[in-house]
Amino acid sequence: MTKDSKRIIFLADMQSFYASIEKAAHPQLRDKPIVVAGDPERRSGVVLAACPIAKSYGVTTAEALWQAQQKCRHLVVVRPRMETYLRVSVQITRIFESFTDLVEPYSIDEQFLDVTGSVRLFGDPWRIAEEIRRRVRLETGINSRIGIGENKVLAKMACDNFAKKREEGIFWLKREELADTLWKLPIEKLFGVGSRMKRHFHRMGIYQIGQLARMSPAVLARRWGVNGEVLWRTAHGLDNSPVSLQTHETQKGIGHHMTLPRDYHTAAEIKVVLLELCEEVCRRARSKRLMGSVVSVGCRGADFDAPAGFGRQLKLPEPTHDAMTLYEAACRLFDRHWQQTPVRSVGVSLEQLVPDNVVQLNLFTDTHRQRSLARAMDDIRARYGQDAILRAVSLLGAGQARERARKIGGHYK
Amino acid sequence: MTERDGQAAEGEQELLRLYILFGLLFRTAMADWGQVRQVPLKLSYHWFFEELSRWAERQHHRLRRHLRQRGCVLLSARRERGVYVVQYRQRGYVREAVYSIEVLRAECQELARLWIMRQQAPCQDPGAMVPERHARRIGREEGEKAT
Repeated sequence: MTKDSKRIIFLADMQSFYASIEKAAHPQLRDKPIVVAGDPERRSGVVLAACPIAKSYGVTTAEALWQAQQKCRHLVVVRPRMETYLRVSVQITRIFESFTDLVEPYSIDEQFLDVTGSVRLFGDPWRIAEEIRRRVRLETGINSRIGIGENKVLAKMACDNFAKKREEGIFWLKREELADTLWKLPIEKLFGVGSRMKRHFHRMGIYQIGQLARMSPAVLARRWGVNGEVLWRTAHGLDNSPVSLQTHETQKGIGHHMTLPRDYHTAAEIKVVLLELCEEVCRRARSKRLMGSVVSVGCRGADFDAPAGFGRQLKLPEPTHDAMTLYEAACRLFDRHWQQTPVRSVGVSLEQLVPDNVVQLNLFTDTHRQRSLARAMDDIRARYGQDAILRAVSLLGAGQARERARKIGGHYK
Repeated sequence: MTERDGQAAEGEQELLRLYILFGLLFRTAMADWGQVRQVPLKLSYHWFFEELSRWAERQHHRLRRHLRQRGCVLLSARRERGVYVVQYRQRGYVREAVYSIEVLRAECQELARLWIMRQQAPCQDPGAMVPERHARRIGREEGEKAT
């Protein structure tokens, strides 16, 4: 512990994570502009990651692949390999764990580290950060950037707003220097402020983080409730949340969402996807030994700028993780709220989770048999792959289960 | 850890990585030769694999000597679900390095490619195959030792 008992938190971010992994594994691509994107053969999908060379041509993450190819004619498009990216992420966690046991993965390419207790062994924070960057580069071939702060929000903002823009890839954002560093930045650079929040702040005449910091927290709390106060605290670099592996352990819901390859127009087609999603949600719930009593269904059209569709939820009489029970409830919601508009993305989620070791027995349903059947299907899938056992409807043109079995999070394994 | 220790550790990590790469390369070249000799071919490529392996092995031993002089010894190396885990002792501390197998394979190929390019330019010293920044480091140390 340092003399003033301040914590030392790092946020380590991997530069162009997916693209860097591909470049490290394929040296012939090192001097070429590359993107990792959807399916290069079908020329579909969005850019998941662009290397710095591709970015210099104006290619940005999340833009359509065809747009990226127009910006850079000799762009090399690489198909994603999600399993490899997950494995490298775990490998990086292992490297971090040799510096501290307090490592919290924040996303696939960002992790928090609490190195407060490591400074005596490894030297001052700056040196630890340099050592971490070197090890990540030598052992994975990836360039990382590290934000340092006395808490998680300061570390995150240090990384996003400063470390990424510096040659040395490290920045220490200190609370006592906020007026000269963070407060001079535009309001959208504050962690937690998105495009809509930015518009709200601009309407209030707030353009810089410093202006927000100088406001009374009571004014912000009146306008946005607890979120307003959180933003004020973030602007002042205040955050007490610990770096902990348990942060994401409390699960509130289990959901799956699917963007369809084309617009689906009929209820029959959409219900095929709904059933597949219900199967997936229930399989995950069973694997975590949980049941849920609130089902949510969301459908959206292709044009995200002119939103069409709905998102509704329904309380079930009793908690379940049975796919057909969930599907029946999802269909009830769908039939009630769908306005016959084309659907491009569908999502199903199960909330209000409870442990599945207590079940209300029913005189008319053989719950035990249903559960045994579901477990047997889960075992087959775990052993032989997701598409080892499918419902017959998944073989129809509308079915996505077979294609989805080749993917993780909607991207190729 | 002092600043000097930090710099030394940095150099050792790079040397260790090269040491592992050359170790993998000399063994892989011979393993590949074992595969190739089973295929009926018009010409013999024995010399190619043997020369590559011999050169990589020489570099491997040279680097091991440098590492030993700096108090750095490899303890174990094993493959674990897509990564290559190396344990080494560095000035009394047992440390671990976790390498991507994919990256090691790519780097080995790159070393082999460099070796072929050097073979095509015989006027250069084929022993000086260690990438330049590492060669500088080794050279500097040898200079220091001589003085």
